[in-house]
Amino acid sequence: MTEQFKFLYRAAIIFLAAAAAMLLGALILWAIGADVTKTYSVIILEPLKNRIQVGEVIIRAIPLTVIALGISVAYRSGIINIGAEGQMAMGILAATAATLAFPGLPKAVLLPLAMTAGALGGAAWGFIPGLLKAKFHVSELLSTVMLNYIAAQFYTFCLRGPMLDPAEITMGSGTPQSMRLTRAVWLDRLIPGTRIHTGVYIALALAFIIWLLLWRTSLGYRMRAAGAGERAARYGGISVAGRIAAAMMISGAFAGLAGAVEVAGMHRRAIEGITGGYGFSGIVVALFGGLHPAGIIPASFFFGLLIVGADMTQRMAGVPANMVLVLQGIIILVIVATRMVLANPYFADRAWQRYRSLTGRDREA
Amino acid sequence: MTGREIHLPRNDAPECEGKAALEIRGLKVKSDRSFPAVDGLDLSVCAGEIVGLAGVSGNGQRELAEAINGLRKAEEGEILFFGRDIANRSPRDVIDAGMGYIPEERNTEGIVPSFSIKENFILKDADSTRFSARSFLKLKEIDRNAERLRTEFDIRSADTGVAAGSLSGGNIQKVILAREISRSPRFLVAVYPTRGLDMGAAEFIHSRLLEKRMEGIGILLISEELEEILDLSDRIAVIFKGRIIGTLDRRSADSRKIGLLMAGVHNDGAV
Repeated sequence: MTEQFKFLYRAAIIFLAAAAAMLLGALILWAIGADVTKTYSVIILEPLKNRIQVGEVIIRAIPLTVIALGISVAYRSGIINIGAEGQMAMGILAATAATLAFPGLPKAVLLPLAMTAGALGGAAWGFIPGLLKAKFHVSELLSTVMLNYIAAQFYTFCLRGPMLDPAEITMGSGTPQSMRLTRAVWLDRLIPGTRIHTGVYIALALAFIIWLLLWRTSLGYRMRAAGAGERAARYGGISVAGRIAAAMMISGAFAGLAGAVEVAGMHRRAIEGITGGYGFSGIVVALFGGLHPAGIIPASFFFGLLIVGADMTQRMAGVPANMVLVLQGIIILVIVATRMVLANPYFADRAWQRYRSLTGRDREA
Repeated sequence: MTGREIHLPRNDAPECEGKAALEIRGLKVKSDRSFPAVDGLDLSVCAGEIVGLAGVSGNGQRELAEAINGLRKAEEGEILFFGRDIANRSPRDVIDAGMGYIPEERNTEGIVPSFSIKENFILKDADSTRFSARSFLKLKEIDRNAERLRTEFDIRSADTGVAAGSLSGGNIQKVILAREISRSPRFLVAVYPTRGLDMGAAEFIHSRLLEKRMEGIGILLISEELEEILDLSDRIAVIFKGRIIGTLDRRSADSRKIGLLMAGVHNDGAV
């Protein structure tokens, strides 16, 4: 097989996969009686039409990127983290608590403190399933999902109980939210007229850090080895259990950090529904981005587009926003299938044989 | 197949008289299904000696090799490695003690298949000062090392960035051999090192193993192939149901005697 053919083969498979996803989505849209072309054009083009909307896409891409980076670390280390939603919630709580505890600190101290607290909150929540997996072989699928529920309930409890804004009690309105965070912890808005905040820099820096970690450090090497070949890693003297716990802590820390960035950059207080499914979409983004920072950044932009587009389809094409979840599901299925096809050398070989026989016949003719 | 006549190299060196490099006493190891796979095994290998462990596959060879390398729990007994008991130490400790290991499963255990050749060369040494500094990998040194080993061990691939799992069996085995030998071990455990390989690769691996033996490194060669065992070994031990059923030295051994022992027959005269 020539390099050129290999490249063409991969490109063709990816193109076919994208087409298949669009087609499946179109079938479902058609079945519910929606205008297919209009829905697609609203989802994909409408959010890019003006600065404000692009800003909205980017602010959604920020937490998606950060979470997906963490998930890719776990995935590459051979453990699947479905608990980013809960880890993010714990990160929000920790960051909020740290900020509210030290309202008088200057920004240079308070902002890093809040971010660290968020990361630690998430890391602690990620450490539990990591430890359970490493020590007792508890399936991380179960433990991370269950911890999501616990985190969600704990989050609600904190916002309605210990962290409830005192103003809400005096006013009697009782909206479950924390006090407004001090200005010192706010992430600045970057571009006037949009809500884009300095979290963009944080996300990009973290992407670079993850790339460094996984491909340039010995710790990353050992984590990838443990994930790609557990037996070989054990044989090579790499403590697989240790790597799994470390990977889950990093993964959790990133989800927690995403929560801290979100609360400091967007809402500026802990309210209900901040996590809003980012933890789950983050898994799709990580896979869609090929578990690589260079893929995750565009992938999270694309999913940010889907989220913003979903709101718009509701208004402009009369398609319920939940349809975007269906599209996400289709994308996941297609990604999984595509990865299987691309990883199968026999398919490639058969395509090569056919390609050769076709071109050979051409030459004879 | 190889375009030339191949003579598998033979071991014609005098016997060793040194101290035991590896001495196993009363070792008991359970199999995956927790029946005793290694059942009170005694064996010693000198420095600069190849001991061939013959036996029908499934008589405890795998469990023995894994127990020596810290990959499986030793229920009883001791594994003295240059006088120090390494039974139930971590794989890392055993590696650091100077053990080299060519495992039975070359595709899943000996290499990380999706990793490139050069990445596989540092599987045991990602942390060493040679390949990393302040926890950052030294990419240039890794490249240089890989290029050198690829030439030295005649690994056929376009470059060292190719996924090791895409290589042929012989080339995978050469990658493993290159890594294990280049780490300059004090001892080598080689399990079925040439199983399923073509003659060219087998010849290459045999001559490398003999070379190491001449340098004074003890080798425990676990194999089913009598020819391999007879060609390379200084002494031949036969394993049967987790025990050494008999030990022969090279001069007195022939494939008939070994074959009978492999079948569990103690007394030649009885047959």
